[in-house]
Amino acid sequence: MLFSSVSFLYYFLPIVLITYLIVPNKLKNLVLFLSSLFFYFWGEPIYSLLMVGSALSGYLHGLLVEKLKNTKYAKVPLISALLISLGLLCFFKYSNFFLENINAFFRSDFALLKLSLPIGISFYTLQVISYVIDVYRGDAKVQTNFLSFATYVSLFPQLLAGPIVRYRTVQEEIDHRTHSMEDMALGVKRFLRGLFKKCILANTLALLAKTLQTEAELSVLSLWMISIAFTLQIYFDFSGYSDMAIGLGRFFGFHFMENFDFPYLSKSISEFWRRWHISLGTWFRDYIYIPLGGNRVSFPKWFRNILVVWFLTGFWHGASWNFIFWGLYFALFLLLEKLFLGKWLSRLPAFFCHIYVLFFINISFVLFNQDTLGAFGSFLKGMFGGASLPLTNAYTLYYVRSYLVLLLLSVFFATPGIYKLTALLQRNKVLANIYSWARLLVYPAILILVTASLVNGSFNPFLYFRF
Amino acid sequence: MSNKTAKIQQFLLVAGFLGILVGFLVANLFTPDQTISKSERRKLKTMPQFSTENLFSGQYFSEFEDYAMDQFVLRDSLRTVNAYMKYALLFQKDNNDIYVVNNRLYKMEYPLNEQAVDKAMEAYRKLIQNYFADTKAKIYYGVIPDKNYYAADSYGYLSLDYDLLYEKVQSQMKDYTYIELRDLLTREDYYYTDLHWDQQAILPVANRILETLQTGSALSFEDFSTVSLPNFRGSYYGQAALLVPQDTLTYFTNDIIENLTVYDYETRKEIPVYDASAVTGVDGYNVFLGGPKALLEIRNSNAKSDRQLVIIRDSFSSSLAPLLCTEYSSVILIDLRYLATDYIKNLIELEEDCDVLFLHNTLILNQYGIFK
Repeated sequence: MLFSSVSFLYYFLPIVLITYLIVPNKLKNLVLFLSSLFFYFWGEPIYSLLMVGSALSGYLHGLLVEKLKNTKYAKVPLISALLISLGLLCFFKYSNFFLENINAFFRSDFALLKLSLPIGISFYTLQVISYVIDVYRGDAKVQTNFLSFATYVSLFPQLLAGPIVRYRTVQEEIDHRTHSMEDMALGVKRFLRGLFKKCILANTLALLAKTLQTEAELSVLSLWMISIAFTLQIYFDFSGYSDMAIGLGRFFGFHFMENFDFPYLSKSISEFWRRWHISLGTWFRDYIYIPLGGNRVSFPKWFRNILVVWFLTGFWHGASWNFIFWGLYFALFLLLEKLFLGKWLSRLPAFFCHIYVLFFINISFVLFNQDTLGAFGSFLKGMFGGASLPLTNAYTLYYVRSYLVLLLLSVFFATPGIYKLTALLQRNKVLANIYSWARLLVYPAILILVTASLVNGSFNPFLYFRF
Repeated sequence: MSNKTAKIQQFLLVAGFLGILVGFLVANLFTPDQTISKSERRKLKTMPQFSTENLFSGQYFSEFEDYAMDQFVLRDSLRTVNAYMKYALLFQKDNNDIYVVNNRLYKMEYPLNEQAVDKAMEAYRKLIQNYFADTKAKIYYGVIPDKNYYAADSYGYLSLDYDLLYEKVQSQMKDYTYIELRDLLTREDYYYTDLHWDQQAILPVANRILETLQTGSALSFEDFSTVSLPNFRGSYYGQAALLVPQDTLTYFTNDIIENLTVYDYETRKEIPVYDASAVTGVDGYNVFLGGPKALLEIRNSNAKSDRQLVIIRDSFSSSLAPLLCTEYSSVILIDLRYLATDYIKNLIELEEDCDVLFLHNTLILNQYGIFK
């Protein structure tokens, strides 16, 4: 079930929120677990068992790790947990990628598996792994109650698209969280901001990119606009989902980590990755990069560590060479920035640093958005005038004009501009008072606009109507 | 801001949020489902059938989402909110390809589908070959420009390559007589909220056709009285979802028209030339000759001759045909969208020396494979 759907917003969510509010505290986890199971079952009926199985595996391995801690067998359950979790992830997500490459390399003819990717497996696998490792390291307490642990793994607000919540950050809140009107109000605001980003900005940007992708109407300008629209879309899509997750979590009394911090304001690629999908970046840092030695090793090993981490980061995003090269693309920039580019950039005016980041991030998302390396090459060639496309055409100009305000608004909302504006208002007592009440109208208005946009999703006119 | 005020605001925000969610949930659960959407002219989804197979394949939930969107309470009003968000907040130039200038709704049709035009001409040729190849029938053709033809350029919207479209039609029908219509119309000659032309504005079109067909008659306003039907919401009205004024549908009538009989070969029943009650129905334009019909015959017992006119047509001819009847004892209307060429002979016998008029609007010719 998607957050941006009528079924979620107007059937599932009100029932869950009201039930959650009226049941006594001791039943709240049960409500969350059952609703999360139903939420998952809605999108992946069969794979619900896989998700519960994965949670059970994490739970049992956590208990074993705790039991065998400080013995010579301590690593056995840890390795077993990793093998099972990564095995399931590899099987469901990467089997066909490996088979395709084996077939291509050895000219073999292994049949591909008829598997669909279980939604959210990339997220909940990392959560389960981090839990077992944290228990092994002593960074998290073992959870002895399966319901509590399964609630953590399956928690529907963050199940499908993160943020990747570490068990240790919510271990207290799983069993002993408090609920306050302030938290609920903050949660509602955050959820609605996310909904606005996803349904109004991201979805409309996606429509622009799709419209401009019309083969017969491509131009150099349209390719640039597609890439810019996609760069903005992916940010609002992803950060919108994170906002919704963080907001719903807050409503239920959880404090999830922040996942995006205005990444397009970065002045270097390294900074970009400190602001983009923070929960993933810190996961790879804490569970791959640092265990490999981080940067406190010889240059060749550090070089290897960077390559490994960014290879895996790319591969985590999807089972295709495009994603692997996308990860390695960032590895290249991070290496260059660490070696010399960072120093150069620090001497440049901020404007040029922003241009540098936005340009290369934009190119990276072209790679991310294409199915094959060949398609990426063709797209890039077209962007830089090498595909004999016209500079622009009537079709491109029409849609650029039509979506211009959306693009400008999107750029504005990709910066903290709105927060700066409201901070300005807060300086004046009267304006601050008006603003605080006006917000009570703005948020319901956002909900109505989003609803209007969702309901319009089924618009499907028939010019000639014959029963 | 005091702590108390902050708490009141927090409460109001949460209560408002939950109130909207629960309010719509309850309203959706207790409002009876609708069967059709008048604004989109389609059947709405109904509650999906539950079965274990549907449930575990995920199909049930997918169908439920479609159902939930279709049956959402205040759906049309919410579509209006969405339309204004696009026009007034995001300043988008169109919404679902519909644009509005001075309360007049237009639909962008773009690009020209050359294969569709070729395919349509193929259907024309097939019909001519099957029915009129070795007869004395005189064949004429014309192309009705859609409303966008008169608006797109001046208002900065996309449109078909009309020159190419007309050139393609004329080059493939060069053996027959072409009737130019573009110079006879303006954008004001079409309804505000509909794609069709207003019958009041097409006397020049009717006259040029009558003249080209050598009927020897010409029509003027004085020949008719008019009947006006308010509250006509054209097909673009629902699609646009904007609060624009409704149209008034006015039709011409006189003794000749009132004495015409219209036979519907599909239902094998007579139908009225004008059905005023249809104006507030799903498609108000169905006032004219009962709307989309595969095969109609208009019989005129007061005709000045025994001539027969066969019009291979779309809905634009529904309002035009009654005006052409004066000189013809029989006007056959064939809509190839609903009737296959090969099947026509099973239903009706066409006169050897009839006049044949191919008349479609550009929107139809631009849809690939629309003819059976």
